[in-house]
Amino acid sequence: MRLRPYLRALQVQTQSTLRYRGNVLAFLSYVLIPPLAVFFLWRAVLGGGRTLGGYDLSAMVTYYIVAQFFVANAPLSAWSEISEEIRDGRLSLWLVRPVDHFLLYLSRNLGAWIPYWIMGLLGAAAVAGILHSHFRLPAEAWRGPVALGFWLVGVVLAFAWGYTLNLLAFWTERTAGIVGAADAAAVFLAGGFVPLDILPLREVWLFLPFRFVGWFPAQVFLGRVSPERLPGELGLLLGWLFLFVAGAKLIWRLGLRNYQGAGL
Amino acid sequence: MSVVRATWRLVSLRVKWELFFRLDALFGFLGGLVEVVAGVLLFEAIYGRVRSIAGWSRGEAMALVGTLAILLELERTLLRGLHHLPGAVEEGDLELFLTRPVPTPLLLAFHRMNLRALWRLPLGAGALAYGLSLIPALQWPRLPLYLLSLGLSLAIYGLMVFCLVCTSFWIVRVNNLFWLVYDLAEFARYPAGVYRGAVRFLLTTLLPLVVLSNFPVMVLVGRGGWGLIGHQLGVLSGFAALGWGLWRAGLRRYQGAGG
Repeated sequence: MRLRPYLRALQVQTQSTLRYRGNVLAFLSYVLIPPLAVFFLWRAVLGGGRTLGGYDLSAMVTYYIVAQFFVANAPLSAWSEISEEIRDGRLSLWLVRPVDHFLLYLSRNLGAWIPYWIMGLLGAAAVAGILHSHFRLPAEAWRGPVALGFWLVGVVLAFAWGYTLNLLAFWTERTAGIVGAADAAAVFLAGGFVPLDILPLREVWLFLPFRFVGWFPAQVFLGRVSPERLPGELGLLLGWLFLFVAGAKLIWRLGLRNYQGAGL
Repeated sequence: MSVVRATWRLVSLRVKWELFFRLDALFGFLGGLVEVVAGVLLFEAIYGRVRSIAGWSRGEAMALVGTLAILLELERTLLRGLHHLPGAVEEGDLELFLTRPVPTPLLLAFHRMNLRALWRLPLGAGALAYGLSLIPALQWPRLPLYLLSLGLSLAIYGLMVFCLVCTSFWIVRVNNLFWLVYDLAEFARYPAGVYRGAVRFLLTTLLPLVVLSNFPVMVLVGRGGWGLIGHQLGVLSGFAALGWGLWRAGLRRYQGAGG
């Protein structure tokens, strides 16, 4: 398989995103504000050395900064352009090209996100600076890169999920509601609102794969996952990823049978 | 009367439009359900281990979740048309609104009502009812005062958005600033008691996010009365004056140029 077209698509999309620097800058608020707001809540709950589910105030603040960065920067709804092109027939233009649609859009999506990731990292660093007396760096240096590695595989998983949902446009007129609902659910299941292990019914949330998009990498960062568990968790993540990509490919094939290219 | 008739006509047209996409509306409902459930679960997780947060009981916190959800859905339903102003200024087609025989800000606010959001209103109401069921000595005669406070909160929120979109007369592209407003609404999710000092002052005056969700609940549970309503009226007057000033100054600057 030739990678060049995909790398080029990634590069072009990064350049395209950088044309709208105001958008990228505005994204800062998404990474900055929620952890700052939730800090006041947790200070009231965990102040004075109290703990909840094994989290003290520092661990909770660190969790929100790290998890917010991971979840906010994951393409859980992929790209609405995918469903729009199916609906208005522009998909035909992609079908005649000798590239894999999934990989092409994954490359474009990653390319579009790279500037946001850099800005998000700056935003997370700024929040960590503001709340420096509560932010906790990992005790072992390897935890940061390993957390990032898990998250990057989680990003591909998130994209496969969003991509599949957008493909439902082969059968329904408008997918915005479906994608929006699934996006909200995935943000919750990724641990973007609350650490999943302090929730009621935690076994349910921790069984699902979305935890790899935010909650699990944050746990690795916090030092709450032992090194012995990591290979097993990686195997599980790759298994889920295989299932998601296979599901996306299946829906794509079924959808193409239904596609009429109308609207051009 | 013409304003009422025009508003009613806009609503009925929008209902017809939305009915084309029933499945999408259903999923919109599910999306709202997830957001409300996430808020409820956050407080359930905390109150499973503590008795109060900054003096707020479990029932009061749940009522806060419900009230904020209701407020946000009402804004999404009724006032989303305000988001059209920056586009109209950029494209130079604001005249389409200015030439109609109804107040332009009102027309802008109501011309694009998103009735799908109305489907989600019972979710907030459900969370509110759950919260209230946990408060033993609730004084139901306070309900009209709660509704009044909620109405004032909606008006304040609408005016905050209006002030924001009015800046498009100067900045042109302000769409990204909408995200800032929604992200700032995070501060409205938590009980007022968790904010102290200068932060609390800021969030109840210049950036009155705590006023929006907390004050209606505080009125309902008897943590305050007409004093809180008076505070809301003060904030509302401030934003109304600011919005009016920005609108007048913006219109003087508007040139009708663009696409």
